[in-house]
Amino acid sequence: MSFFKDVAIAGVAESELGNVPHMNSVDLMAQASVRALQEAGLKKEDVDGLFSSSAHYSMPTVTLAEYMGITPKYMDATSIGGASFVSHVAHAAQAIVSGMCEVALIAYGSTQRTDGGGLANITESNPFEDPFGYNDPITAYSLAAQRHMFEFGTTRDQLSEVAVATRKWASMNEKAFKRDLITHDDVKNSTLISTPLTKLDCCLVSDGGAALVLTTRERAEKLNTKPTYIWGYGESTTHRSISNMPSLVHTAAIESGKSAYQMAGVGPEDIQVAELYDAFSINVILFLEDLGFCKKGEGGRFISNGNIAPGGKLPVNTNGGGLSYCHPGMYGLFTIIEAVRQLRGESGERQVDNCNLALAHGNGGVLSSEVTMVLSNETKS
Amino acid sequence: MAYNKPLPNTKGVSEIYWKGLKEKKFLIPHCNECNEMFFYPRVVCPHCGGTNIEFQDHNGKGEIYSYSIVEKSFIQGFEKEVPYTVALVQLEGGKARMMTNIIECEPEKVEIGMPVEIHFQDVTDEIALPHFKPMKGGR
Repeated sequence: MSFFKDVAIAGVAESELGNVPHMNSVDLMAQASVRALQEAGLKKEDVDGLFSSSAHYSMPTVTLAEYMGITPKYMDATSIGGASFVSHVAHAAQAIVSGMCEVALIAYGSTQRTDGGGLANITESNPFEDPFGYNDPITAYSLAAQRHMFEFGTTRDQLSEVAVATRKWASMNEKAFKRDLITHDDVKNSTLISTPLTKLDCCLVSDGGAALVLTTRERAEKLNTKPTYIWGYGESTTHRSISNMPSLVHTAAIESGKSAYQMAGVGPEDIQVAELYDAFSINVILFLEDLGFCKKGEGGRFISNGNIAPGGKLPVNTNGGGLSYCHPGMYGLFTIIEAVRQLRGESGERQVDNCNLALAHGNGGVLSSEVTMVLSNETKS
Repeated sequence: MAYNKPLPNTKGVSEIYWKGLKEKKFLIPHCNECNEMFFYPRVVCPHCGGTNIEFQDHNGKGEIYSYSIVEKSFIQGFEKEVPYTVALVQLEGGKARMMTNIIECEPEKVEIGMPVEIHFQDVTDEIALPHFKPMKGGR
């Protein structure tokens, strides 16, 4: 698996975030793309590999290529939900190393907030779930949270702590949508949607886009930014619909994490910052367990006492996460963007000291697809 | 008033299952190659890859694997019915689990592990849904 050694991330950017009613989804993709290329010191003409996924466009790479006026020679629109974009970075690495392209652009954009708050989705009905009034996806994550509480004694306060800690990080990120500090009681007492999850256990519904530029290591080292290297990667899936998740308290992150650590030659104890796809508070608890930061069932206790908050022993979701920073339908690419900024030392007030090894984890569907990437600012020995 | 909640597409491989529900029969796919049941109906067994599959009568009993009380609903027809219980029921006798609503039980009394049994809920002239209710006499 040496091919990851020969590529590096050269640029990352967000589009305008939050409430962006004057733009549509491809506008946001293109805006983020131009910003990421600009940061790297590249032009759109340099892009010869294009990667995207979308709930708005059935052919997102084709749509974006037309919009930007580019004619890539390699495209991939792998669609595994919010985790897609972490997988695109790895798939782009393979394409670059095999000579299919040299400068890969991975882009995403969604006007989920402007579109009315519902989850934008290319219609996919499920006759075995739709008739039962199941709020997709909230109730799916509620079912997992309820089972976790039953099996391991995870508490309402521990779920709340995820939202509270994440908001502390968001308070230090000027791009975050919600920055006012909140308490455990605020989370518990916010609108109950589907037990045990309240409104503040759920991610934001925002507009926004993101982009990332990956190229050869050789080329990246001559560009404007400090390169970020990929040490390890893994992906897996266990189900599509929540009815078919083999165990509601074990996710495919167990497999994706194992693959990523093995390739990287590191373990969870080596990770200095973790960016975990927090569509809901329960996600963070599940992923901390499944990625080996604590034992199965101990996620709730692990996060108590501020362990994932600023100053804690494992900084998690340092940008404020999907819960407080932004969540435009699919959040995956934003996990890598923050990992890159932490590794470059660009995160300002929220910068984690001596950060050399970061983990970005994407989630898709209803805990369906899981994708893990280990990143560093140093080349792998 | 006409039923205004989402209805399943009952055509295709699952037609036998849906027709069964309307006749108060709970027909669950069973793989004759690995002798295991599964849900939802498909032409390939998710356990062993076998294709010799038949629908078998199930006794309609199971237990609640997990549940959530929906307090705020975004689903057409359900908005005014809150609170109601969405549950995953593990069916007795094999590896099959399904989503349902728990009826005839106050939401706050629903528990994981609770024994439940099927209730064939007629919703239209063609369709009955598999709802579940607490088993009489408990375990």
